[in-house]
Amino acid sequence: MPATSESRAGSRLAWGLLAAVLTARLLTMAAYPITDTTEARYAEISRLMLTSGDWLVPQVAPGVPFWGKPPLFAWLTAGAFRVLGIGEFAARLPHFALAMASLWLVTVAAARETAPHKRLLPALVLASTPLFYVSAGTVMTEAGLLFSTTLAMTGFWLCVRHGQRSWGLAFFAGLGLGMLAKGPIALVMSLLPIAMWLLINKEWSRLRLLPWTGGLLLALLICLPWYLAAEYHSPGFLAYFLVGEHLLRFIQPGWEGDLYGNAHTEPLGMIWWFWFQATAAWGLLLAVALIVLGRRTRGGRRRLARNDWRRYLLCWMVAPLLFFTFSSNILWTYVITGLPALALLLADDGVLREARA
Amino acid sequence: MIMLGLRIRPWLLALLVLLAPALSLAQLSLAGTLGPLYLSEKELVRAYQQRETAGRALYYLDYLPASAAFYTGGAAEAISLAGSGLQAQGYWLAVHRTKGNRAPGHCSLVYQPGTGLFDLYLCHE
Repeated sequence: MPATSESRAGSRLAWGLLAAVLTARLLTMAAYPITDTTEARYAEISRLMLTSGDWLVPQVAPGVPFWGKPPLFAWLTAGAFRVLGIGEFAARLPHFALAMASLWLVTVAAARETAPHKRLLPALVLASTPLFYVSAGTVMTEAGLLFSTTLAMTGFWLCVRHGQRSWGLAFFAGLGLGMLAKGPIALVMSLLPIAMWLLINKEWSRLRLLPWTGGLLLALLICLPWYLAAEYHSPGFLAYFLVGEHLLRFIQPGWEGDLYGNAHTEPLGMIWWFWFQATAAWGLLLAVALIVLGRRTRGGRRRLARNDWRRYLLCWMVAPLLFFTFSSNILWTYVITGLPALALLLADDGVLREARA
Repeated sequence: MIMLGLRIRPWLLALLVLLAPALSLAQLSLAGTLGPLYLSEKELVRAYQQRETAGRALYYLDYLPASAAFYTGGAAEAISLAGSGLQAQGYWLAVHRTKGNRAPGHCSLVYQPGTGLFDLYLCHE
């Protein structure tokens, strides 16, 4: 089969499969009931936000503030309730929309770094990872976190590598949105892989390409007003959320300060197994590809890391795994920020071409 | 399709992509048949709403799942039966079936949902 017709056939297959996955997700969103415990809690918080009229401080029960997460998930779901009425489909639709926006972002990144006929492949891989599939149709904070960090990571790359300063503003917007979606962990999941990449590349001077003044103002404008207002109207929120949820939860095994549930006590390093659960066959495929690459091509695995884009993706993918390796209070959803990097990495066939050259 | 140096056949690509949706659909269609594959109080709340005509309240014994609060619009409440004084007026009670909780003697089992972990009882003198 000539390469061009093979490419066209592959592209048609990718479009068809992506449409099938997304349609299945969209159509089944109303078929599932709102499930306990996490999703039901967030849906109820959103319902209370709408019925109470208090859009500033989320409430876990009437009059009881919810300090466990920032309000983006509740704003989105409560807004959908107001427009579409209270129900499963309305509750989940905004999270599906955020997931679609994340797919668009990886396609934008792929358009700059991947062969034209494979630009849809990362979106296809990402959409079909189990964790993405679940998060795209569930009332949780994960879809918002994924969108925020993917915006930051894509924006940073397009700004510092391709000189697109408007994407530099998108990087800062992603950080600000991440603070509203999940809190400071969104900053960590964006800045840690970037710091790793800069450290490996020794290209700290590239940071000058970012629009620091406008960007920092934009990020602060997005998130700071809500944090200040929430602390003012609900004193104690910042201490609980920043110190308890973001520090003690991870450094104290079996932390008992959790107001809204029980601490998880997984064995150290469990996050790596969670990554395989979250990626399923795609994680396995990456492992097989790395083995085959090493056997078929001399220095193939080393070549993987010689390319700047692939180095960036590797840092992006492993940062959450490294960060949570020494924490036992973890969930399988914590690996979600690295999934776009896995999808973009699998779509890259340049390593084989370079190795054979 | 070449993925990181591996040639992936179209059928294999389709299999990899459709795995998550297929498992999700299987879970949806088998829930209730193979036991509670996901937990939600929607079915119990619907059973209560279909049967209740006299304005009697729905209570959850000791613990109120968030989905019960959601599907009742915040109307369901958690109670502890000791000293509740509810027997005389009649009420509906949801009792967790695996935590060793037992419904009081004046309550009779009305409905056992396929999803969720609570059973629905009607309680009256």
